[in-house]
Amino acid sequence: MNIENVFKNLEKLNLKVDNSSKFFETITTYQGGTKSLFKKLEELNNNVHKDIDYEKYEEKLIEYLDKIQSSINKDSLFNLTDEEYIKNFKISYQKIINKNIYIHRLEDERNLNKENLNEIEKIKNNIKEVKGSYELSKLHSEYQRRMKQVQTSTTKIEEYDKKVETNSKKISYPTLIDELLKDCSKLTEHLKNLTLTKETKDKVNNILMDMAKYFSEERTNIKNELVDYLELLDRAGLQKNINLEQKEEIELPKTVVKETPMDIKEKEVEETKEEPKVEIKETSLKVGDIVYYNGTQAYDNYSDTSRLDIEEPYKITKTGFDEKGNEIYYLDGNNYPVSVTLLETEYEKFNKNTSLHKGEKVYFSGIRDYNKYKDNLEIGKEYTIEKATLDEKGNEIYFLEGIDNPVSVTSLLTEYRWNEYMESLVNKRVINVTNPSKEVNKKELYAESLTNIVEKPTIGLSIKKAFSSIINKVKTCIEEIKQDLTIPEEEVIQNHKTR
Amino acid sequence: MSVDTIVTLGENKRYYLVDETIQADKKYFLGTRLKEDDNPTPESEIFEEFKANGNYYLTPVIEEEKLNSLAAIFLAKFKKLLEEE
Repeated sequence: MNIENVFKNLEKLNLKVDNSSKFFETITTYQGGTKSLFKKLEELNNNVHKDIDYEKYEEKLIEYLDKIQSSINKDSLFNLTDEEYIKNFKISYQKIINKNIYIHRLEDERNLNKENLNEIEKIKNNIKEVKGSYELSKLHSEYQRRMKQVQTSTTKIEEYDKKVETNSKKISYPTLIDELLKDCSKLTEHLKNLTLTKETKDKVNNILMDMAKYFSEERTNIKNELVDYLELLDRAGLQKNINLEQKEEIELPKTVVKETPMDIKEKEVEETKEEPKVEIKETSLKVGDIVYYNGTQAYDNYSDTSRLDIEEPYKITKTGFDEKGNEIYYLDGNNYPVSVTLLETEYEKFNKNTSLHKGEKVYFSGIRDYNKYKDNLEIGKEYTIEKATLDEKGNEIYFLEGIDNPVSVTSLLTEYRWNEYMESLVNKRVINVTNPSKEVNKKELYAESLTNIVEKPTIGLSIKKAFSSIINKVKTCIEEIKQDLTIPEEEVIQNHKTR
Repeated sequence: MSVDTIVTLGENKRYYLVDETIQADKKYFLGTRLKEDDNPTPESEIFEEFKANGNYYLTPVIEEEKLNSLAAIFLAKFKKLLEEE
């Protein structure tokens, strides 16, 4: 390789010579020659600058969480008595899921937008061809509807994009993985407080261990790739073209990974609530971090929730661990420790783990609440979310404009889902209303209709019994009607006269 | 929409609206599907009426609890109708 090509290749890789003598020594002595050196540099350069493969980690994360969920479900988690522990576990679990929600929602919106833009293009073409004014007006309405959806989607895409940018894209691979590992560690902490059978606990611990192992191996690989790259740059006398911040992150000592879920393997998890001794040398929150009280109840004997205000921001002044290894924090203005399970970060507070958010348009799904939230929503009416939050059990609840009571997420549909729902209702639309062409025997028809309804498999026994108690009367009634219809007219008149 | 009329839904499904009830500001109908000659079929539904985008829709109630309570209401109404004789 001549010198001109050498510099061309350096430029291509965005590399500059820092130490000429080192550089020329390396390119002349590198095993396999200059070409080999550049091939290696290119390979490592690509590795350390590659984009974060969120999808891969999301898939892996969801896979692990699904496994955990199904293991716990088998133990009838929701019938257990230790509500507080279950709540804390569920909150932590939900937080992990929701970290990825914007990415999915962004993708959904982009797909919807694409679909609408395609439709708009088709409509435009149709408008050119159609001549009838009725058809034109129909197409125009459809065009306007699609355009409106595109505008809404565009706003949402911008919003989600911003959130994804803020929350995900700026963090590097190692930071992302560290975050996942911290979550994994928190889950382990909560898990040990659940009254699960030994078998389930072991199973879930094993899943958490696998999860931690997978992510820590990923982290090690990334670290190794970066170290190799930096070493090669140094050896070749080239300037480091890698972000210093990223490098520092890589070099930070990370103990959480090895000392939380990984160590559980060595501990025997008992059927009782006895905590496994898990050593954590690094707290997930740091001195100076701003935190909020998350409104949950303390299950330890030192956190005093009565002195915490949900709306008040607190600065962490001291971090540590209690005798059970749980993270504890001292907050500015308070001289008593608070457990980590009672706190949430500023981000978590203002980006509540809800799938819908303030300002979003929603529709009633038609599903009534099965819990305490009594709604009185109308099908087909558009509502705007005024406040999105979670209740004490971690269920998503929403305050809607003009509606006094909170509404559960199960009762709501997004605009997109609503439109889908409406499309599915094509066959339920009333096309025409007419009067019957012949006289109808109301009682007979009523009886037949009820018979059909009562025969439905979802109708309860009490209704069936109530119906059968009056059915004889109905039958008699029908028989009488039928007899009346079969008696010759003269006889009816005669009978009437003799009465 | 009102009782004792015939509504035509999509796929040309025609229902005779036998009775109605209003519960929590929502209107429900007991309807029986009709054949082409206007004779009833053994297919009946309890419909919830709602209006959206300027159209009326009749959606069959399938939620178990709701269906049972509405069936009980229509049953009571039918009983009353018989007793009025």
